[in-house]
Formats: sequence, C-alpha cells, structure tokens
Amino acid sequence: MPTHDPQLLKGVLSLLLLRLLAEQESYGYQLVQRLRQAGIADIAEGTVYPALARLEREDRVTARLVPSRSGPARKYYKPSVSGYEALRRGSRAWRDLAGTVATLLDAPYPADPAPPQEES
Amino acid sequence: MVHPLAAADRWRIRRTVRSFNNMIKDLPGARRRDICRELHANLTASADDVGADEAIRRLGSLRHLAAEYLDVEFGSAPRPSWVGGLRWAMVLQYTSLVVLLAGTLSFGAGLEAGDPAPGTYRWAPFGGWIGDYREVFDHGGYGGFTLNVNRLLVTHAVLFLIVYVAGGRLWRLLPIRRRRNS
Repeated sequence: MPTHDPQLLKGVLSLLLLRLLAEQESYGYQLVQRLRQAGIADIAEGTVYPALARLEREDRVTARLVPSRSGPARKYYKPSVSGYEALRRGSRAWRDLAGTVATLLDAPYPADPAPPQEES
Repeated sequence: MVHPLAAADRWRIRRTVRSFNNMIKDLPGARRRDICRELHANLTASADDVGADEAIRRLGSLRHLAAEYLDVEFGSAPRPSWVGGLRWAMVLQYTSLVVLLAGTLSFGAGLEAGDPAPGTYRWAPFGGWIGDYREVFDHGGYGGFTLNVNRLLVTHAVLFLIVYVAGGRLWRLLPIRRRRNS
C-alpha cells in the first residue's frame, strides 16, 4: 500500500475526520481503524487524537461518553451544525483544488525546462 | 484479532498515560483529566486489537503528542506555565534573601568598623518594606539586633505573586485570552 506524504495528509485530515463522523459516530481509535481501512495505512494515532481535540475546540464536533466493557468509557464524536457546514465547504474547496492540481500535474512537460524569457 | 490484556499490559498503559499527564500539566485540570481519560480508552482499544506494546509504539512520541494538545489549547503563542512562574518566583525569593542578608551584614560591619556610640542604629531601605534591621550598641559594645519582618513578608508575598503571574504568563489562562489565541 502506498505511503502518503504526512504534510499532504495534515492539510486534509480534519476534513476526512468530519466525513467519517458524518457517516458514523466514532471514538478516536475507531477513526484510526476506519482511516486505515480506507487506504491511509500509515496514519498515526498521535496525529488523529489531537486533530479530534482541535475539531472539538472549534465546536465542529460534539462528544459524549459511552461506557465500554473492555476498559474506560469511550468518547464518541459526531459533527455539529458548524461541522457539517465546514465539511460542505471543505469538500467543495478540496474538489476545486484537486481538479486544478490534477490538470497541472497531468499536463506534459519537456525533458529539459525551457530557458527564461528575456524581459523586453 | 483480540489480544486479552494481562495485568502487566494494563499497568504499562496506565504508566504511559501517567507520563503523558505529566507532560500536559500546564493544561487546566478538568481538560487534562478529560484528555488522559480519552487516551486511556483509545490505548486500551488499540491494545485489544494489536497488543499493548504495539499500541504504545503506534502512539508515537508522547512529547510530540503533548505538544500537539498544548498547541490546540493555547495556540502558537507563548504558553502559560505554572512551573515556569514558580521558577521565576523562587529566583526572586532567593535573590531578595541574599540582598537582605548582604545588606544587614554590610550595615553591621560598617557600624562596628566605625566604633559607634551607644544607641540603636537602623537600616530600613524603602521605608522598611525591604527589611527593618536594627543593631543596638551599649557601653559594653554590641548589644544585639532585631529584624522586623512584618512589612518584609507583605512585600515578599506581593512580589512573589506578581513575578509568579508574569514569569509564568498566567494571564493567558483567562478564558477570553484563550479564545483570542485559538
């Protein structure tokens, strides 16, 4: 499975978390598992947990504690009203950016870059 | 795959959470407990899945994780620090005690070198708010000293508080400052 540039992932992680939470209320480790199942195999727990904390701080998600049989109560998250709005805006912005980047990257380029044009 | 957790595994997880807790001591108490409780639950779930050792390894650097949580709470601006404030306040305390000791010793040495006439001699800089030290000389020579600490204690308490808040940047704990920085 290909590894992903952590810097690329950092910019879009909050959006991915909101998207997954819009589908199903989840706790931290469960989100890590779902991201890995989606193809982001090298995502670290240490990246996801603070990102969730940031979303909660920004009031984009709400949380509740659910008792667990295997250990401490788990904190389940779901998007708030502003979280859904951020997901809509972010998804649109990402699609626009991805389209522009794909167009630029897919365009053919020569073996050697063209020399700079002299300013007239 | 489910890995049943042994007592040693649970102990290792608790120890990891305790270490992490020490690294985020600058967070407000309730928030710190909430984060540690959540980390404990996530680590336990991960350990059920991949074993305790692997779960802890996958967490990565605890220092980095703590820095991320502190960044979420306080932003990128300089952070408040209870320990930092205490450090500065203790420096002030030790420095002022050294100054007071040096002052009283110098005053006494100067007096004795001058062969003073019988009487009471007083050293009380800044109206006694730094110290109120008196030496008594009678016909037999040096007769003892007194040190009035009432005002000194008030001065120290006020300065301690000011330096503690300033040195630790504790005004950043105010909710309005935290919202502005987020």
